[in-house]
Amino acid sequence: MLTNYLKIALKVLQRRKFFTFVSLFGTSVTLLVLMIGSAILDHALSPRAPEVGLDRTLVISYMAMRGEGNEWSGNPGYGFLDRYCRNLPNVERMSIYSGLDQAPTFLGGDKAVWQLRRTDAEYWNVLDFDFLEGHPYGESDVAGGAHLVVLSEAAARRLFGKHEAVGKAFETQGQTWTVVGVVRNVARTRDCAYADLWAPVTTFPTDVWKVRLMGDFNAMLLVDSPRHFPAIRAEFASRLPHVEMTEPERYKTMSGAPRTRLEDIAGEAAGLDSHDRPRTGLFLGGLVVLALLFMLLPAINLVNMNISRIFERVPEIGVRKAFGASTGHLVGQFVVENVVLSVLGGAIGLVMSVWALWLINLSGLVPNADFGMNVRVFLYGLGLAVIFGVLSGAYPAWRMARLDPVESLRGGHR
Amino acid sequence: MIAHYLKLVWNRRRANGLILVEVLISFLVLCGIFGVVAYYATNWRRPLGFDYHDRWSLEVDIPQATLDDPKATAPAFATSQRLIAAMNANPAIEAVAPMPNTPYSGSMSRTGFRLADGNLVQFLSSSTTPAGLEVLGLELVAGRWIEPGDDALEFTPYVITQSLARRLFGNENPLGRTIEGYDDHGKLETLEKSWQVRRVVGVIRDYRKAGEFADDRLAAFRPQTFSNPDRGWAPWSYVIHVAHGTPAAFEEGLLETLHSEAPEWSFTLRSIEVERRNYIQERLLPLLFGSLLAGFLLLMVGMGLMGVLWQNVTRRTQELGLRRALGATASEVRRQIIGEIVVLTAIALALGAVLFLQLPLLGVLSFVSLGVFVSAIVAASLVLVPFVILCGLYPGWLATRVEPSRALQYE
Repeated sequence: MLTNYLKIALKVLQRRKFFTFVSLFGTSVTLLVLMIGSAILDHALSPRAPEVGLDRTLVISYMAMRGEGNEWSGNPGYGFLDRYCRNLPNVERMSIYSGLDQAPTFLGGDKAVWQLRRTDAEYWNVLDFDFLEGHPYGESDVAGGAHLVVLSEAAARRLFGKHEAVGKAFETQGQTWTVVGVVRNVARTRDCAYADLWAPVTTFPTDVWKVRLMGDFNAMLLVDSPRHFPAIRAEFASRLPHVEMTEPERYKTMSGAPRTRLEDIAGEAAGLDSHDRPRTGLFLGGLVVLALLFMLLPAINLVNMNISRIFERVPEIGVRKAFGASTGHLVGQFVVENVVLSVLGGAIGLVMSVWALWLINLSGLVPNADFGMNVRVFLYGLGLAVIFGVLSGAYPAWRMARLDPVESLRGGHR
Repeated sequence: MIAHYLKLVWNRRRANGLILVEVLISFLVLCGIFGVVAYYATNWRRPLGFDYHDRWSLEVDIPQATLDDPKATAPAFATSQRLIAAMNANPAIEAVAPMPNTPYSGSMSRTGFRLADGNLVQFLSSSTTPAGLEVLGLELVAGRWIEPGDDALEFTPYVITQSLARRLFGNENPLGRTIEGYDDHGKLETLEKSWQVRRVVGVIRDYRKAGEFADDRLAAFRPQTFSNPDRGWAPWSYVIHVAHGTPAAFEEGLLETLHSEAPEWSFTLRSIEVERRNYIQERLLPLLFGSLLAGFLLLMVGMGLMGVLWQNVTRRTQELGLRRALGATASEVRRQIIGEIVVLTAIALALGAVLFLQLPLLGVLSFVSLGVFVSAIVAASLVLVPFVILCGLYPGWLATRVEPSRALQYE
């Protein structure tokens, strides 16, 4: 039965080349856009090197201090993270690291601006960097405030050419740094890992960062299992009232919560206050609604054309009805035909999106981007194509099935 | 004639309904795109109010354990003055002035309060020195600019932009007037110190720090102090005017000088010209992507429309043949096919315009003027109507090929 439907579907596709082209064009470009979107989202959310433990990581990156008429929200400071966030239950490893700082270099008159991140030694254990040369700095380097730096591959190539970079020195931000390691480039979408230069946290010119409650720091908590996220949030919340405020006349309370990457993105999209847990369901639901809205116009277009096509097939439908095909059969047949068309369009869209993602990677819009297709995104695409096919096939099928067989056989339907 | 087309459209309302929805959605998408374009274009045409050529911004990160530690502010003042002196000594630098809200930067240091009528006014508030006028290339239109010693007066002198003057004082002369703020209950604010009184001493042309595409014209300048910790903090950013043709290498030398003057502070130098380029790219790129998507949607709708019309024509062979048999000319038949689709489009456009105009009517996006919405509607219509006619041409031509004799065989 299904093979028959498929055969008919292919025959119909060949019948009116213009309609087939328009349908395939619309479906493939629509799915292309949606697949690029889901590939980027999937890339940002899924654990991959160096953030191999992303699915069981919580990040403390957004806190707020409030007092009467005063509010300061943003990244927490090292003082807060170091004093109040250590030894949370079920946390296997914890790392404190700074936000990105701009570090210009002027080697031989060639100016380059690098993103510098300062981290503790544990950073290199929580994340799994691919070292091309050398090794990370260790506990003792951090404790001693050594001016050591790990470079990204791109930075190493630009600064030292094809030669080995480890052991070489360069100047930036008025300080001299010695290279201890070179790692493979990290995409900008890997929020915890991305940088061009990594240096020990103790290399800040002054020590005030050690005590500040707010500042420009983040903490990663690598938890043994996502099941324990609620317990960690509860413990974190119970510690907040005991924070000793450094400016009690301005700020009285501190709020915020460790977040997953999805919550981080959802929070950023919604611009919510830190003490509200970002509503990830709302965010994902919003994305689905957006995707459906975007599909709406191509779908209506396809519905329109499908209805037109049905009337071309009135005699065929009349014959099938006259020989006893039920409404269900006909609806099934037509929906199958349409899904075949959509999946075909989806396949073209898939090929185009692989190409488009490659273009996006090349364009440098997202630093070090390495977007790509994987099985999961492919399945999203396939699912979207089927939804699209059913969406645009159901109404015309219903119209078709309601045709009067007598009228149809006469072929004189208006 | 139109009434007749309307009747024809109505008779086939179920099939036409979907086409209507399609055209309506494409119209709204086009309105959105053209709305952004119109908004950008109106802002682009206004004078910028400052000069970005050969200007650099310097951002200073002052490590301070707490935000406004008075013990730390006095030495920070001294260091800032040393930095300014060192920069002025640099032969490549023509002038330098402290300036929060450097052009094209994301930072917005705003002051806001309510007027006597209860309306909230928010404006950029930047503290700077007498050099600020030249450094940014601002244009004074009335009164005076900030002068040495202004930070020690018994009031705080304010130089405001023309738009802010109009917003605060209407058409009255703003010079010498006091800017009064009111609280939420309409009570005049109480000032702890007499120097907190804001008195307008000068008016400049609008300073549009947020850039060409933004409509941000309310700004004020006041004196930067280097002696009184009560009256301000050490500046955290500066604007530098370098001599034309200064080589990029100047940056490295300047950073070295600054680091040696203040080893514990960190500095970020940015070329405002480059910032401007990035700013323009950041805004045009999403617009480009949006236009590409809209173009794709439009193309698809157009092809779909053509297909449906084509199909309609083949299905209406009898009707069209009858008309030809009764003496209608080919062009009359073509006009009928195109006329029907134009009437349908007009209905969709009217519906779409009513929907789109709900945005300004409901006060959403209140910073966008009504003219922008109207020009978006006009532009979208000017694109859509010829496009739809274009799509109807081929099916219309097909309709003229119907042979009356063949068509009448059915009857």
